[in-house]
Amino acid sequence: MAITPQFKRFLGRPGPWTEEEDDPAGEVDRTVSFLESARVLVIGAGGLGCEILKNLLMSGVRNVDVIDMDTVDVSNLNRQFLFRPKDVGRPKAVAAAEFLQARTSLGEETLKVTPHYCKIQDKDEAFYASFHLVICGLDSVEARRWINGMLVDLVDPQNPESIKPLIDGGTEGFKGQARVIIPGSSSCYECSLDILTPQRTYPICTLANTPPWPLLRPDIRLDTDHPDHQTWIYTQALTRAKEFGIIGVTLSLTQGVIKNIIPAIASTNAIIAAACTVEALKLLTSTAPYLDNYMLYTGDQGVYTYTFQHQRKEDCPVCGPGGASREVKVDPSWTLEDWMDDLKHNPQIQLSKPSLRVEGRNLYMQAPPFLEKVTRPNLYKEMRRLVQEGEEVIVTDARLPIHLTLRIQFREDQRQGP
Amino acid sequence: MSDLKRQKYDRQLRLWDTRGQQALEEAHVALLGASALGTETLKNLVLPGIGQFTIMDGALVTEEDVASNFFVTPRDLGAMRAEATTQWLGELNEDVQGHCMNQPFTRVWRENPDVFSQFTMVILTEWMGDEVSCLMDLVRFLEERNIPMIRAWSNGLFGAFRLAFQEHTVIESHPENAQDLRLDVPWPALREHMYSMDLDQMDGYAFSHVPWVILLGRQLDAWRRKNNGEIPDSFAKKKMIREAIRAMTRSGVDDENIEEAYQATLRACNPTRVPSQVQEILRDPRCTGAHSESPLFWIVARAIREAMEDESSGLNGLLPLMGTIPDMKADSAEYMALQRLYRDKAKQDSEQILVRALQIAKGNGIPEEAVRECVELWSKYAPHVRVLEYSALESEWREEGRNRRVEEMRTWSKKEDPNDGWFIYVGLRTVELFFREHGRFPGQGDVNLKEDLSSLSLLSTRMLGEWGLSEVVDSEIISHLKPYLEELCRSGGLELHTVSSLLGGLMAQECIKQMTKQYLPLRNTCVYDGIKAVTKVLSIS
Repeated sequence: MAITPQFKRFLGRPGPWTEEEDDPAGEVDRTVSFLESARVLVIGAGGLGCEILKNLLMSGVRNVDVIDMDTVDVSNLNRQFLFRPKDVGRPKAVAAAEFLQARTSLGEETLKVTPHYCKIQDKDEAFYASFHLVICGLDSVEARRWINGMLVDLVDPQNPESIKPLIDGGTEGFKGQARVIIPGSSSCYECSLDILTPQRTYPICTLANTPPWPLLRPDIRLDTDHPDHQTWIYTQALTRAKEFGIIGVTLSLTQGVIKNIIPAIASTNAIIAAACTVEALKLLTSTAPYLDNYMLYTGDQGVYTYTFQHQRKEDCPVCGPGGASREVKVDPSWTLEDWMDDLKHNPQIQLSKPSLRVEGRNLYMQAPPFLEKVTRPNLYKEMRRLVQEGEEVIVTDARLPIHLTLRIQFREDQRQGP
Repeated sequence: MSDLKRQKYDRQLRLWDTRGQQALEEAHVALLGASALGTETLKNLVLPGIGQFTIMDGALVTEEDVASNFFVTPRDLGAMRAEATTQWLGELNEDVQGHCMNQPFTRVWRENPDVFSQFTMVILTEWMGDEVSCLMDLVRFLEERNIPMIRAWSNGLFGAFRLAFQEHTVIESHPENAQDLRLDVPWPALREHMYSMDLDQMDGYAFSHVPWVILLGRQLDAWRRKNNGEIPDSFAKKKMIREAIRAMTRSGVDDENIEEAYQATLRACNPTRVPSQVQEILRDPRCTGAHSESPLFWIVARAIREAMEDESSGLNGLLPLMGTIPDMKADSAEYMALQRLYRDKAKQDSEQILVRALQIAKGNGIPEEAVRECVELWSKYAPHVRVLEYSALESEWREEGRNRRVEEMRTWSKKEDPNDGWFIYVGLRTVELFFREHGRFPGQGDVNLKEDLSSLSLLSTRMLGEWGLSEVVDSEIISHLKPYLEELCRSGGLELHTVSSLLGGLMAQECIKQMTKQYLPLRNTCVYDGIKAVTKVLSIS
């Protein structure tokens, strides 16, 4: 939207919390033209994304790209206000861009919203390097790890332009968080991997114990989005519930469990998206100091925010200085497969499909197929036969731009296997 | 509810269920002043499907509106603001009915006050202190009818809103990790079940699947028998029980259940009590004096009180059992048996309450089903039921209570991390006084900022003086306030879309809590500081 005279005055006036300027009058023109020419990337055109896009355009930003691999679903309409029933099934990024373009322009093109209907992994470094700022409104840990790794990789210490601040928002029900990551200097997403909220659990004996799908229908792949498949799981759960007198098993609960559905409402999205966009405005215009670096929000019992500085991890595999290695405790009697399961659940690592190498040899490779086949027998060997105490294992995951160096420390007599 | 609706609202039904949705659909929200702050709030209410809204506004759409308000477009320039915003908001959700009145609310109030009695929520934005007496009349009218109100401000990177929700009762407060196991006061069936299994004879597999509730229940019982029935009321005593649990570990047997019992000991050994807030509710004259015409909430409260006092009810002076157990390591059949035990006892308790509630409600025409539903909810949430009282919005302009404000400000300003919420609130109120005197915001237009700041400072000292603040004693408060006044002069009344959007999210969320009577709304004023990225809650008397 247009920058009104009062908005320009606000940006130009010094305030009690602004940095002092040598040439305030000239500075405000530079600020305004930077705001109007800045390129901002919004990742995710869902509940947060719709709000973030709207807020950016209403804050004077004129050049926004949006990337999302999803299509509009009926259950999005209670909060993703750039979509209407007729958009169900269309790519979110495209529908959102169209709506905003139509709503805000008067014929002549002043705002540019460019949609990308694809995965974030489909874009290369040059694409991400072309933006000034990235805002994330995602519900996927993996995608966040990926973009975080990408933006940290882009940093060239010789070139300040290569630093692309990342603002990340997330919500669940009445709760949410917003944070600012300055790649290379503040705590990054990977640094905080272990403080992420654990997923809600359900009584162990209800849905999780239903007979695994492949045993019953080896010919069909389970598709948790497919209504028939959902109904099938629901029926199985219901049978079991009857057997044990469990009440409260509904199709809605079943869908919630198998698809890991997170409750989401318009108001929380508005709060978190706005908190993110306020930070974007501050970063783009220096009109106030930006958030350093984490804000938690809870709205179910009153309204509560907690703002704090999350500390950078010295041994962060993504932003830690100079490829630091991390020590891991391993029971020598574990098999390699046991250890991989441990890595998957270790809150600081959380890699579900790791490939593992030590100096000079492969322990297990997920791909290519011939390497996988050759290394597969190692999965069933005991750790003590595969690695030495103190040896460094290099862990990679094809889906993440991360590689970890883990230093093995044997610990006998672990109380429990993984 | 139709399947399509269920699908569309799926993500929110998981939070407030069909009962909450039904309540939203019965709501009619009035927005007085169609600024971005107002429309952003309404957006978050239209999307989840309130029944109706009405916008009152006599202004025309300006360039400033187009720049800050998403629900007017460049094509609407010069049109009625109420009409344009109603159209664009209404288009968001076909389930919602939007109405507009192209007049300022003060005129509607003078010409046809009865219009206001149809609303279930009234939101006031952008009111700058004119026609105070008219607003006071309206506020009193709404208070008499128990219609909740919100008053809100958005200015630069600051904003605030005050809730006046009258008396607000919440049964479904959705507490996190609520637990009501009664291991210290097991009822006969639970005690019997606890001892129905012979732990010593069990093989390792069976032992590793004994629910922790049983393990802990037995250890607690054993400890009490050894100690003349005493309750383990100190950390040291609880630790003894915890160690006894750890000692049950069998070598070579999975000990997840023992670990769970160990972790749960400190909390589960706390004696079962009626929380003080619920005691207050049960002592309240609205409870003790509840009769057939009282709100259902109070009828059931009285029934619970009576059941608790009656020895034959089986409640033994305690609240009804919640009747749920947490997830735990257990064999499926054993878990279900335990769950059934708790559910059955909860059912017995609520049957006892229902009989009494129906007796009190007799003749009022409320269907038995409705009474039963309320009893069941009350029983399920009993320790977490709340009654929230709100101070009247009128007190913004009345004398009483102001001294308490100053006292609170004094306390806050001495703390290491002063609650800047107070300074922002005082700043926003002072800006209102400035507007009344000058017909514009401080810092609005190309004005002399220094002059505006000094008259704003003067006004703030005058206002605080009326509240009972002394320039000598409270110099600290005044110096704390200064940068906030400066910042308000800098923004000059500028409404930033994003700030209004954030406040709109908060306000809509509080409206939803009020309408659904689920979760706990804040009491009573929330301040947003966009510079520090924090919200603060103030209780303004």
